[in-house]
Amino acid sequence: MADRRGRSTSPQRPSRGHHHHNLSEDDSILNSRQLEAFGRTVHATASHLINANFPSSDTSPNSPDPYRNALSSVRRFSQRPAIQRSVFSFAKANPRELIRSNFNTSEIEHRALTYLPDDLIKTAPQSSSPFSLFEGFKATLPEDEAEEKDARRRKRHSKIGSKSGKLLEGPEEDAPPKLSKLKREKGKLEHRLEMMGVRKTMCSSEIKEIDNKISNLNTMRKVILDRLAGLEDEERELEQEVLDVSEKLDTMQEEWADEQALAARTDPTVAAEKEVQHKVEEGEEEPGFMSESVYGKLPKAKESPKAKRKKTPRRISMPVLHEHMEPGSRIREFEAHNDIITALDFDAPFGTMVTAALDDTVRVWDLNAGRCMGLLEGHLSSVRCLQVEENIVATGSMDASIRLWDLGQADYNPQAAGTSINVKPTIPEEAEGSATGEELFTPASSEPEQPPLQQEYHSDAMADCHMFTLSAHVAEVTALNFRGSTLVSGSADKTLRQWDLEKGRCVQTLDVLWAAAQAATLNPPSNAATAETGGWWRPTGGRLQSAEADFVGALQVFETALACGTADGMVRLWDLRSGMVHRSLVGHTGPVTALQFDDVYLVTGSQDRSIRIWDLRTGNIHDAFAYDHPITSMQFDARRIVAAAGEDVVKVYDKTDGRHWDCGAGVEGEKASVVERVRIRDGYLIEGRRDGVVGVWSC
Amino acid sequence: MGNEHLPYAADAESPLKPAELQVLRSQYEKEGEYVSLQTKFNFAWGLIKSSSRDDQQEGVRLLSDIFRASPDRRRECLYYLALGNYKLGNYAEARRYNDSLVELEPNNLQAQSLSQLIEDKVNKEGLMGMAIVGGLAVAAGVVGGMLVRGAQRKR
Repeated sequence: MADRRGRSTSPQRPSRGHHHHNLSEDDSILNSRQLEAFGRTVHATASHLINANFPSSDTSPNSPDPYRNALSSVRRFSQRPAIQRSVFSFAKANPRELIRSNFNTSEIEHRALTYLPDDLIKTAPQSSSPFSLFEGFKATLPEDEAEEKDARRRKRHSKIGSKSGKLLEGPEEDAPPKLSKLKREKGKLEHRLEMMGVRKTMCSSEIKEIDNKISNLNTMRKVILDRLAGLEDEERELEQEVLDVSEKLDTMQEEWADEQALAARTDPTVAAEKEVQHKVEEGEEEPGFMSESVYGKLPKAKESPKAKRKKTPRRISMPVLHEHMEPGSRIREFEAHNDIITALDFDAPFGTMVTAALDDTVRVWDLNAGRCMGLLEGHLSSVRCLQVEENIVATGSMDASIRLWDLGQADYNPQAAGTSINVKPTIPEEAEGSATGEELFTPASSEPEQPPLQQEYHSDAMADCHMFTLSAHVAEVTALNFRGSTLVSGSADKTLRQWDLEKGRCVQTLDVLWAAAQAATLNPPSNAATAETGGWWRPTGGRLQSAEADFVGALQVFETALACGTADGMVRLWDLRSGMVHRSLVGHTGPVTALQFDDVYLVTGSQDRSIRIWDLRTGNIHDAFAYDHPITSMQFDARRIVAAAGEDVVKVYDKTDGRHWDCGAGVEGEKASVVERVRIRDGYLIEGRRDGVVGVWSC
Repeated sequence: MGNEHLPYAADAESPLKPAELQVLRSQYEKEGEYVSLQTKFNFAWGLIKSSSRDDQQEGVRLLSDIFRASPDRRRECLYYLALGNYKLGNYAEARRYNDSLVELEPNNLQAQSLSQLIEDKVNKEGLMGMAIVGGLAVAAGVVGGMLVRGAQRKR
């Protein structure tokens, strides 16, 4: 190392004690030999200078030479290797570097940022990647540069070529220039090929890198999803607490108000004994004033005096967990009934669901906890259709009646004992009774037979829910839909009825056959085929499908617009103001069983196994697709059309990318019953099966 | 490592054209948070090649990021870090990185030549520094001597 240095050939070659030392520790920055040489030089120069400046100092005998003494002591000092070393470790960095590293803040910051610990440096592993970063750099950057150069060269070349080409193109021109040109060309091409290879490996390694990142992100996502689930749980609990506290506040306040009223009543009587008129006035004012001051102290007091006290208000917060789950993942599954599910609906994701089955029960479920909240009792026969909107439930039954229920009146404590559906509480009645308090109204006589499924709710939890019954139909109600205060129901008596929910009575009856005949005569169909077969009523197919199909399979109302699908496979659009059919959509060859429309499209499902999407603006078919079995139920939300088509899975159609896929228990090869009913809302899918099991999925 | 895998120090002394550096920078910024290793390195290397001190610092910072983030590239990064610090004049750091690299890869020609360069630079600047210190000492001596002499004369 030292030999390579030019400085080692300095004239003063001190080889006394330092030589062996140099060899032993020659990894220091400057070896001590050089240091010493330097010291000598400085010493010599300095003493020379001093002597030249102060020649008299030599002549004066009694004055010691201070400089020489000082310098020689310094020299002696610096000849000791340890000190030399320490001095030089300080000076290992050159002065500029020292100043920078110690006084310049941005430099210090930079150093701190870029400092790498020694152990990382020492253990840097051998790279396993097929190309170095520099090769990658060369392969990416000079792409255009090289081409530019090539182009330039080529241009220059061609210029030269054009000039000298004519000269060279003489007959005596021989191979070598061409040969070298070709060789160069070949070399260039080979280089490019090489670069291509590097670029290729770069791409594949980048893809690998991205894959790693994706898997990392996926695990991160999972962690955060768990966190979200936890937060939603907490949120729910907190909401419940808020509810409890506000309820307590209400009762406290009522008690207080009662006391005040009592005081007000006694106050004037006491006061009346002495001064009649004045005291009476004051007595009337006094309780008002006092209670107001109390009200002032209670911030939430003013909200509480509501006409209708909701015991289970709608949730304030919106659960979003299912939106972030993988589409098609199971949220919940439970045995809701013992028999075929005939109808189900729910108000919101993780909200309240109502199911009806052939076992003649209607159950209300807390989707959050997966628990039955109670039974809606009153129908004499099984419920065929139902709708849940906010707290209002409408059920249409085979007993020809429609009942409306207000779930806000339900006596249900979401945090009562027995959180899991599978756990059967040993003493359900007592536990629930004590949880809900003494005010509980217990009609001992009206205790109905409990179905043997779950008895977590107490029997009269839904006793107050019934609002009123609409009974005018003369045959089973097969379809109903309400929006705002308008409810329309379709029945096997071949009529549709429009009801005003505020007044609770029927405002219009639409005879489907008559109206259809009217429509046929007013707007005779252009194609002769329908005219031949009787015009307004088209028997569907050879099989006797209409016998088993509901006459009115599905309907939906919006303001004054009504769409209904019937057993003849027709979809009729009505105007409720005139009570007339203003358009008929012909296409289905089997009874229509499901129907839903939004502002642009109307989607229908039929027993002819097809789903048809109609454009409401033109009345033409927009899209259609078919499954293997008759459609029994269908609904869509913003993104997907889901249908129950006689399989153990729910058929899902993605509206955005046109993809068909299956969702449900049957997907993983589980043994599951056929899906009978399906509902979807905001990506939250619920399906009810023939064996009474209800599955909840994210979709 | 063969010759092709690492650039020699001379390569670091030839700055890219501003437009070229801009291409690298925009690529780096375009990829944002999920920037790929190669893009990051390209930009860092372009910065180190630059003659502006701020750019060089930025480049060294990016390289140290790469060093931390991808263990697979640590050895290569050591060299570039040494080179960057060498250009910055942080010879102590440069030496630290390069010596480690030489230790790990005794046959690395580029690292050897870089260590030679660092040695030379340190010697030159170190001696210059010593000369400055020495000069100061001489000046101090002269002043001291004059003071002493003045005192003697007074006596």
